[in-house]
Amino acid sequence: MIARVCRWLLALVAAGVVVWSFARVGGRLLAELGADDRTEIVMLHWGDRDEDRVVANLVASFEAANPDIKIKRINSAANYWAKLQTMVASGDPPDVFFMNAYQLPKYAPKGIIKDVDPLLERDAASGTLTFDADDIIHEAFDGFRYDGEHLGQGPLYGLPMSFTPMGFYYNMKLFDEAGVAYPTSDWTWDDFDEAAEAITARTGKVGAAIDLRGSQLVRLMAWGEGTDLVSEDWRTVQDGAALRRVLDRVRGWRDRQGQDDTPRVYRLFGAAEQSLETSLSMFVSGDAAMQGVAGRWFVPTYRKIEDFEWGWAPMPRASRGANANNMLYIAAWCVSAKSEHPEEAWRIASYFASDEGQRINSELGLALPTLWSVARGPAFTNPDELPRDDAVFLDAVPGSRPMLWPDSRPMRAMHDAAFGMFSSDDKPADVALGELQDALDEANQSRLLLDYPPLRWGPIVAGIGAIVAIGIGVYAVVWWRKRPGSLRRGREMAGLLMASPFVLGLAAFVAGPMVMSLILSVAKWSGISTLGHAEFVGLENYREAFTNDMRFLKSLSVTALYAAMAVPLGQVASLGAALLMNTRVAGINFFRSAWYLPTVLAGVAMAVMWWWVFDTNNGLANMALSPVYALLGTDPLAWFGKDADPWGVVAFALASVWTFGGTMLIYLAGLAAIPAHLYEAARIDGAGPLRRFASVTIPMLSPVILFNVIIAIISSFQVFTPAFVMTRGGPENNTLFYVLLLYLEAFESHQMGYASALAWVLLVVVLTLTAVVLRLSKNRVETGG
Amino acid sequence: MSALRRPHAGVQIAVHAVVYAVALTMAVPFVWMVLTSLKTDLEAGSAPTWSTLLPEAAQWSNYVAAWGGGGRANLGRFYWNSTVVAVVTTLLAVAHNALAGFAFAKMRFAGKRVMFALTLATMMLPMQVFFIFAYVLCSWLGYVDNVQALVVPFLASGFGVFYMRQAIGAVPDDLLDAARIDGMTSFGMFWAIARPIAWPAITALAIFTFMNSWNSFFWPLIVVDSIDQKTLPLAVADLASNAYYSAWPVTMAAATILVVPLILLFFIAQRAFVRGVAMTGLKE
Repeated sequence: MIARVCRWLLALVAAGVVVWSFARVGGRLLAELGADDRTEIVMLHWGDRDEDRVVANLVASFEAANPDIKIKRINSAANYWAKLQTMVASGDPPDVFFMNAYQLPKYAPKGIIKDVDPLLERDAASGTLTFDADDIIHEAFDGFRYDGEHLGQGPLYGLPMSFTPMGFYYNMKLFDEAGVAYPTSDWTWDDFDEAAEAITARTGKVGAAIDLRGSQLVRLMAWGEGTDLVSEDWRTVQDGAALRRVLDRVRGWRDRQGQDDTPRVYRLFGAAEQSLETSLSMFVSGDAAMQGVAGRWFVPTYRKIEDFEWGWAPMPRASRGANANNMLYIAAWCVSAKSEHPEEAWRIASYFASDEGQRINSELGLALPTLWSVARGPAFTNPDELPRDDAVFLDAVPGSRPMLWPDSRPMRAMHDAAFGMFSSDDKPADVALGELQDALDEANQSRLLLDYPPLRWGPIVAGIGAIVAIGIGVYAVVWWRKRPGSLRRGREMAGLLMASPFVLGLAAFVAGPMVMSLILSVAKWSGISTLGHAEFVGLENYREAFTNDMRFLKSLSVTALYAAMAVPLGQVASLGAALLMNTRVAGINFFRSAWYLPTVLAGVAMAVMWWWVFDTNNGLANMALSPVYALLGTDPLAWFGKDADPWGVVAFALASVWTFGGTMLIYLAGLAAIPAHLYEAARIDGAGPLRRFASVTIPMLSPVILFNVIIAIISSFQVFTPAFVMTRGGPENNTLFYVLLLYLEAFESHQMGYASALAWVLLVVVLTLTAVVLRLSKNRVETGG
Repeated sequence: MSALRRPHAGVQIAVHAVVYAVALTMAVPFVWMVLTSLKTDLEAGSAPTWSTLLPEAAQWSNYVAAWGGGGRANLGRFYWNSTVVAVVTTLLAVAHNALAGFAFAKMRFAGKRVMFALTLATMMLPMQVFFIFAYVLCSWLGYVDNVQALVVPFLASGFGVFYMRQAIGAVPDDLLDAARIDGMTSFGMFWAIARPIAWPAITALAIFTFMNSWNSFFWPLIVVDSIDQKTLPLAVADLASNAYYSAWPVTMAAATILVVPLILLFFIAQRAFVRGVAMTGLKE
């Protein structure tokens, strides 16, 4: 009776779920009927909460002046590029979106950003241009031109909204204390070093906290010397006297970071591990006299700090009177080439670039406006607030340009070379630059750079349709041959009925996308165009992985090492914990919760804690290990620094043990299902606790153990979040977990096809391991009572 | 548990010692998070040493700032969103997966093994590779920026079905055969026999599903657009997303606010879990 009622209820709920799942499709039709007559424009941007407020103001004042347009604003600060890529790939890109000069070269060739030159000309001719064409800051506007190879030439891909040159912040009080003159716009690196040394000598504070930003600072300094780290075509390392001068200077900084009793003149960030301490925190606390290399970004933050006097100076020059060759960071509003409302989208972008839009945007002081009149006007130049002279930012603009970066593979190689040369356990420059050259050669041989014929979707869809039809046919035949008698037919239907909601859901949301990724694994597709643009490459993606991508094997071995540690550690810990939890201890409920605690903590908060735990000098892990270091007479490990091979992986594996709560719970549930009479029988037979564990618990628990081991293998091969948040795979790819590589390929290199191939290689690896485990367990696992 | 008799005093002391020690170790991350949430930005940003482990003066204002969500919307709104999503997902997903798990474990139907093998295979592809296609699908179905996008894709879970199949697999076949001879329907067998015996596992699955849904971050980031629809982790990320300055203490305060309901919920749920354990003990 109860079962019958429940069955009806369940059927009702199921029907409700189905209706609810498709409600939106119907709802959309209704919504279109009753829509208001305003045109909706979708706008995507990034920004923290202060910037968000500014953009909200911009949108509000635009909507007030343009009642026919309604803006749907999406702020996707936490994962902007993945969001943009996903929207573009789904064929529904935002009408107006934010873009920076750094990402522009990836998006511009895909034909999704409108070239706005014709629109500018048209509006200028008709006198409806929202700003004075003579008033624009050309460095900023030209920085958003791209001709397929160079930034600064070719079509204009957006209306630059804000930008900044790079330089150093300085603490005026510390400069005064040491009696050192403030930096000027034409200072040199020698001036920089002199100031740092003098301040450290006279105040005991760190002279300069320097962010290497991967290889960006090195490139910027090389620009000053008239060279670069790598040639313009990303093929050749620019090794020469000029580059060596730069490298020597940075290595000189590294050597003056203070060891034993020598004073700490510099502190380099980005060459060692991630830490809680940043150049910013050192500068704000008054522990460092200079901080950089940085744009205007920190101004709003520094303005909020009381009793803090600071200034900013542009990048020091290579020598007295040399060209500045500074770099610009530029952000612009772009209009989608696919927009259904191009005119409205253009109106929004050009309003943001107008005098009024620029004035509202300058409120925060976060970046420089792109119109001279606004930049020199009161909205930006505010004498009541620091820095004392906003003009120093403007003075640094002439002659500056944005920095072009290669694809992610050569870019990572450049960062790795910088890390190798400037970490505390340094590589000689020859070795590091040699490795960089090898990596560049490899990247330039990549099959992913070639052009291929288009992927023909027609035959593929037909093929899939045929396979599905054959599958259904085979299923029908098998079913018919084995068709059950009328008595069993009901049961058969019941089984199918029970499994079908799950099977259908899985087919739609998992199997469907899986098939897509299988198709794409033989394709080249950027993910920043629609699927129609995919090219057919055959097995080239797989060949690339196995023959020409050093990171592929590296990440596979990193991940295998992790799994080899994390799986057994986790199983032993969680089974042990479950057994303990099964005993009588006062307050067991509390402990069960306490042990589960780390499992529920997630994300950034935990990543930050693990930085602290594995900090080289002050971390908990090294504190606990100090007797071992003393015994062995070795230095403390730099887990995520120079010792990251292999200790970075070990650190991640150790951290993973903390989250044994879930597995523990499954073991606990498994233990609970063991009938008590088995233990009684064993006891009567005279078995002790160990014997009972070995001959009752383990066999009875074997299905659960099998389940947990398989799940642990699968999930340890897919570990992603900790490394994504903490190390991003570095240093030197030593924590580049497999799925992290896959993610970088998909969303930074924009090689979705290659990423799909990597995913299917992973599937085969894990499937093989699972099959081996199943095989080994065949005669050892109890089934079905 | 009735399975074990009260052991020797020495063993008991040892067990207690281990239990307490592990509990302390496991509490470290949480304690650290709470301590950091009470520091000033400067304290939290300085190089970690033992002397700076405790905040100089507890900054309760971080919690006020965190709750206020940086002036955009207070966290109450996001609590509600997260609760709706997590509760609906958990109820529906557990029902889905337990039924299917029962079918895979104890029923006979054509194609069962193939379907189950495919189910296992789906777990082996990382979601990073196919969420773009899942998004395309959600976009067709009109789910984007709606609660369905956070619920429907999570109802069918390979993990859930695999787990339920293993757990229900332990139910003795004799019991089911006897029930069938007595004329019980298939669903009746699931409801009256498999469900109570597998109840600890079902509770555990419910706990996992709820926690995952509550903490879920990567996917909501892609499918949720408007502030009104955001879940708690997204709101916390917004707090942390100041690209120029890491305000760890406020972030940690928000993370604590995020996690406290989970801890309470777990505390309550695991008692139900234990009751379920006791119940099966009676059945045997």
